Amino acid sequence: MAGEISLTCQVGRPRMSATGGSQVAYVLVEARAAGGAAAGAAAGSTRVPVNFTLVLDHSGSMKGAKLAAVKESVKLVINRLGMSDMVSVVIFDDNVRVVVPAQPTADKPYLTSLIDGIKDGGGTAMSLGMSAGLNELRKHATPASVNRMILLTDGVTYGDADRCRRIADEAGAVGIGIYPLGIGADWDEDLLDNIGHRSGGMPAEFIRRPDDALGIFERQLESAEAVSVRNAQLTIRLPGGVTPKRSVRVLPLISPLGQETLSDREALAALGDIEYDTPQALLLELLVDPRPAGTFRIAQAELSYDVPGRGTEKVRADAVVTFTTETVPPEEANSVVLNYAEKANAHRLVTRVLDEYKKGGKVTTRLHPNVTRMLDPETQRLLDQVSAGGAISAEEVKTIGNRTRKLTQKLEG
Amino acid sequence: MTVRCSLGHENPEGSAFCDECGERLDVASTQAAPAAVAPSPPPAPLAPAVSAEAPKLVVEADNTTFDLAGKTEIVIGREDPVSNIYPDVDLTPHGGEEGGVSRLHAKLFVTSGQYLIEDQNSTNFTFVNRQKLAPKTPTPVKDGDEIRLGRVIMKFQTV
Repeated sequence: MAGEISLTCQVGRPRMSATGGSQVAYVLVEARAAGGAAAGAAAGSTRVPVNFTLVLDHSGSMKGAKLAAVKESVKLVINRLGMSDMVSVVIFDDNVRVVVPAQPTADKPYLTSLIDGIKDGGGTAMSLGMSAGLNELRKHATPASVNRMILLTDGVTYGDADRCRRIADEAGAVGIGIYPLGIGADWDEDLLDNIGHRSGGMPAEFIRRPDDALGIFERQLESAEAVSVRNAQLTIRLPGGVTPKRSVRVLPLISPLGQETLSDREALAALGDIEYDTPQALLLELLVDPRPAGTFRIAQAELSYDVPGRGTEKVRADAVVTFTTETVPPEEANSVVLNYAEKANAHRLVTRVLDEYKKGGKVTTRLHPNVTRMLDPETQRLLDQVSAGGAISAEEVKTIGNRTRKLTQKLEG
Repeated sequence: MTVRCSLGHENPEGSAFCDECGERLDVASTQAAPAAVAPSPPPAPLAPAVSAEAPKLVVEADNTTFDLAGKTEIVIGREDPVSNIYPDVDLTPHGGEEGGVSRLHAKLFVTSGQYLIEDQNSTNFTFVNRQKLAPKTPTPVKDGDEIRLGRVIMKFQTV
């Protein structure tokens, strides 16, 4: 039965001018799991089993507080997993070792004692860890379980970045999402974001201080436990006279879309898992050619998804605009849609500033106060600094990136 | 067809934000939940009611006079045929574009004989006698007041 997911399309301007040239139209496509996790439980459906692998960097640089915090966090995850869940733990330096082969979490004291035995040492060869983790996950990966790799590192992998990307593609192809966590200031955010993106997971989360690790691991677990449907694929179809300008994911984070263009009129985006209480949303910016007065569909969204254990379902929604010769007062605009558009645009521009800065060139993008006003005071100050030709630390670069992509999360600071 | 931000970056018509600097290009539409803000009732007349003298706006830079007689609501801004915006007082030929006047910048209206001006969430704000107005808040104006939209200065006269 369909109905697990509600799909909606909202347009930035429900009425647009029928005169003049082509215009930009904003469309917010939102997919939301029906009810909350509580509603799912009340309906008698138990949560989808989680098949987790934790791939951990234990290189020499992890020594001390970082490794200690990570070990505590992993023990917490093991202790919280349920009877039907699977777990495996892989550690890597420039070698790899499967500390916990994939298994149910029946004997928790034994499993946590294995985690206690992890020591620091060696270099960083992340692809070895990813490959071994993927191997453990595949032993029990089924369409009826949530299969995720939590990948933690504090450094730059040595000479195998391309191999890491290929493993991410491989994982994505079999429905395994990778959720990277960077700890400390020295990890490569571009590579980790890319790994998350390619696999259908999430961009890297930043563990700024060892003390933050526990909470972040906990959220990773909660997110996996909240999965309602899997393998969500969104197809966007555009009628003649409508061309895509830009599209970006705006919920749960502002992030690029794993988008595949099927034809001029059709594009496919992989959304991965949809979790209870965490809607996914995309913002499309379209260029719409002039139309005579009347009501038209400017885009159609179709979402297909797998209900674990129960097969594939589909839902559709249309984005509709009324073209009119009357004057359309700006107040008619949908402020929710334009709010997402504004934040997505701010994220794009801040990312551009950071890219200019990271490439070592001059920062030429000038942010209007409309943009900086949305940012927290620390981020504003740091951006002012780089715009004035100053320097900021690698940790500050990561902090800005991490905060800016959360601009659409109302409750985050 | 394009719209430009105040720095001159070109954007396709209908863009709500500048692609290059993020400036809002269609300001009124981006205010969070405009419906939630109850329109404040117009304040009681502060000045003696003006009868139907000859209300007008005089642009300081070129002395152009806009006659407002016989109208109860006057939209001030810049004409934009693409968006179908035809303000009663079009400041395009009077330095409106360079002066940062929004397409729908301000509304002047009369209630019980009292003229009020209300900023329409303009990008560069409306000022009465150098005091910046809060957007969407009607403010009384009287004969001789200076009204500034962005950088374009006008005098409001009723005699």
